[in-house]
Amino acid sequence: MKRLSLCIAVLSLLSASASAQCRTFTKRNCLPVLEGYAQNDNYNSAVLIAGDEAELSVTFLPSTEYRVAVCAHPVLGDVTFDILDQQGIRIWSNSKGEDHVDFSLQHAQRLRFRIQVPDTDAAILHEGCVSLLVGSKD
Amino acid sequence: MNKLRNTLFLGLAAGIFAMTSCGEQSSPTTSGDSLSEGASVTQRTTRLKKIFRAAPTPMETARIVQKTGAQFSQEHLHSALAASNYVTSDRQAINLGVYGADLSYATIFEENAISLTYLEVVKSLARDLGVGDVIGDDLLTRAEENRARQDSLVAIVAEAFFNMNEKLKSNGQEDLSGMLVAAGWVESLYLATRHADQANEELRTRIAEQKLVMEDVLDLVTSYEQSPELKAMVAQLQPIVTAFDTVEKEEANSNVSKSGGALIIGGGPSYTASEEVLSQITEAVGSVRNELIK
Repeated sequence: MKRLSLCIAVLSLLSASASAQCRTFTKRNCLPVLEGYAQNDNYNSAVLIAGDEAELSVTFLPSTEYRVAVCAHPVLGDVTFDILDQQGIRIWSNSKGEDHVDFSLQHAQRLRFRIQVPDTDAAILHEGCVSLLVGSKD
Repeated sequence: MNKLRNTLFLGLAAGIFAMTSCGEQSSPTTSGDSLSEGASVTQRTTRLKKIFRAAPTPMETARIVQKTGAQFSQEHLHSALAASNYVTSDRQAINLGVYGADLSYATIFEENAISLTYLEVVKSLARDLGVGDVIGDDLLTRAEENRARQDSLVAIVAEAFFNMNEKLKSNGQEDLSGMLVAAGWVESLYLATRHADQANEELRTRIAEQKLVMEDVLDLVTSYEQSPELKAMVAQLQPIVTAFDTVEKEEANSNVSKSGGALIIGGGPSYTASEEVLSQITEAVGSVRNELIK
């Protein structure tokens, strides 16, 4: 029982450390991609492994230019990311390996961003930080 | 120095113990060593789907209101003098959201002197809430030096609120972050609806579209651990939810074109609110907002 409690405590500490590293990674590697745009208040980051998915569904308003940046630690390989409209139809994907997409809308619409970390056959799995940031400007 | 060495040793030993003792024996060997910042080896083998939640910021709402031709209205901002009235962390978080929306509104309408006053208020309330270090004196100095440049002030305000939300979440205070976001949305909608009786068609549409933003805000705040204070705040929003119930939605397909490397996303659903619905929204928002600033 003591050993289990110690394991839980230590794993919690390691998890907190991974989150802290992810925050630093995001600030150094992802925020610069939004240069020229004001970042949205929300901080969307997670530590993922091969085969994981992440998704953000959020409303975008008209009369605004948006940039959505997705950055992933290189250890995860080339992540793919798609935009789906409110009806679930895919309207864009980063087929050229883009790390961001710029867009504007004529009406407010909720868009869904779907991120997929490629699968791997490697014996040792690595986890890495994946962040999705939204920026806007006039 | 010895203390630091002991702490580091204990941390490393604990990490190795956890990695070697807490998992299944057949799992891939892991060392716990960090490959580099933001990555490490892991024992996890089950796949997961992470759902991020977010909502448009008060800055975005202020921007669309300004573009409809609406006029700045200082009399509807929450009094800067009231900031010292809030002594509990939930009231401070809620009113930090309210003042943050006022700050965004003043900044977008290029009322720079008012922006600087509200930035001071936000700094003081953030300090009371224990996250004051994200708005340091250097940030205020930068704001003062760039007071004539709206784009710089927008960037400074956005940076401050991004850091504040991140800090609250990393401190395990997601509920306070939720209150801040929800109150910020209510205040930005409050400012947008103050002259709803004289609103042009565009502003009325923009207000009706806030139904989507409301759903984002509710999804976000209800995804956080529900402290009694956050639960109470979500319940307070109910009159607004009811008022938006009768906003009409017409489905349409999206279409995408490109202009200079950027996508233009057209079509999609449209939202409309009748005079009566708009007036119900205006009234509900006014009464909820006035409760929040008590």
